[in-house]
Amino acid sequence: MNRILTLIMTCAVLQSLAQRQKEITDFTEKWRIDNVSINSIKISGLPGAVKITGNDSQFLDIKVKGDDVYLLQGGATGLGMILSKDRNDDYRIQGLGDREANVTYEISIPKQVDLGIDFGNQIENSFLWQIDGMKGRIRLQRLKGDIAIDGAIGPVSISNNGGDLKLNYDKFSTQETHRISSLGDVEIYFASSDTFKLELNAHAEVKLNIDDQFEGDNKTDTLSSGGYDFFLNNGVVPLKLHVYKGQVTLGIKN
Amino acid sequence: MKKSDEFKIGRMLEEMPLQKTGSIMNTKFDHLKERYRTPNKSISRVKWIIYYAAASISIFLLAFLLASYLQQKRIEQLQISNAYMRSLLIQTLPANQAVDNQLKVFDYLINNENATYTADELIEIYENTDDINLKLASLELFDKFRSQDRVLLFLSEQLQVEESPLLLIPLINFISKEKSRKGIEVLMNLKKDQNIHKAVRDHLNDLES
Repeated sequence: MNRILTLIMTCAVLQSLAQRQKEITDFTEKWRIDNVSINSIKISGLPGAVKITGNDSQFLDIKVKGDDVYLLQGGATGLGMILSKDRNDDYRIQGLGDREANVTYEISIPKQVDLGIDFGNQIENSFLWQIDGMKGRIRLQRLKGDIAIDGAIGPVSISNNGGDLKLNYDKFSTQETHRISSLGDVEIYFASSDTFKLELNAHAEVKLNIDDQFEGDNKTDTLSSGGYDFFLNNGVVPLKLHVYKGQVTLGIKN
Repeated sequence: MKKSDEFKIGRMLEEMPLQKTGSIMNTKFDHLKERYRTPNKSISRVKWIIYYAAASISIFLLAFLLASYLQQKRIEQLQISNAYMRSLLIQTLPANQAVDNQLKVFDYLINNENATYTADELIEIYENTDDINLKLASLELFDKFRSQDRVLLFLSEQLQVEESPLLLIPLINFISKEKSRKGIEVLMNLKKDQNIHKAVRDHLNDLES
């Protein structure tokens, strides 16, 4: 009896692996889950370009395109990633492998969801991370490529070890402190009605391009290393910004 | 004879005028009343003054006790709040998953002067998280303990193992300000490291010049 069961299971596993091999050679995969209940989504170690879009409905949609083939490990669902869900209705998309690949991930999720991305240390370089229309909390950790965020509302915590950051707020949330540390150039645009206190920590000499609407002690073109405070509409909730080189642009949206 | 004597005594008793006895007694009491009339008036005034004084003191004491009680209550509430945040801090220490909660706790600790935390708690958080912004927030709180040898030793060790320039540069700033022996040794070794990130090397050169 046991032998028969083992045989059946082996056949099922082999069939599943064959199916996956077929999917890999297609180079395009798409998953869609409707009516999902998600509190937060955590993404880690995706080795290509990533575009995340907030949607107004309740669906989770993942499309993977590429002309690069992965060496898949056990349990993978296609082009090097696993989608799983835990008991708290949190979803996790986890990349496999340890090298960058010519792959693009397009992920659409309900816009109110909290988004957490941890790139990790395994992959040396990363591509562009594009995030549009996400209204919940955004936490990006240990990213190395360029980051472009558009239409943010929730509190952000971003650390970028490599490329440049461009962040466009729809409205600055005053629920809690926002934190950004970036090794590249930083561009942040706010709505003219936003209120906050920007605590800029320059760890090297940086060029500053700042809108007239900001108030502050030092609005010169070049800042030497040190701490500087700037205010928009006399706000008190801080945006703590650590910059290490390059240029900082603080602007107001038209 | 005996009978007539008894009769006389009985008669005498019957004839004793009660009114007369009463009037004697009344006279005695009138005399006493008259004697104490004036002093009674002065005692009453003193009594009222004492009553007023006692009432005033009581009201003052009650107000004082009420104020003390309210103050104590406020302190207790603050302690409860502190204790809650501390418990939250401890709960989230090893669970590296709840970084968002940890950041909220750090906001509270940084912005609240009455918040209590120890260098050991900060060291534990620092060791158990990968989040760079949380570590940067820890460095803000470590500032309170910057003169403690174990804190300097711990951060010097971190300087040797840290890879991200986002943290290496603030760590270098922290260590170089204190000029501890161990810290200077680590900085010298860091400068000799050929694989060090360019931004970190530039920063070390800037500090030296």
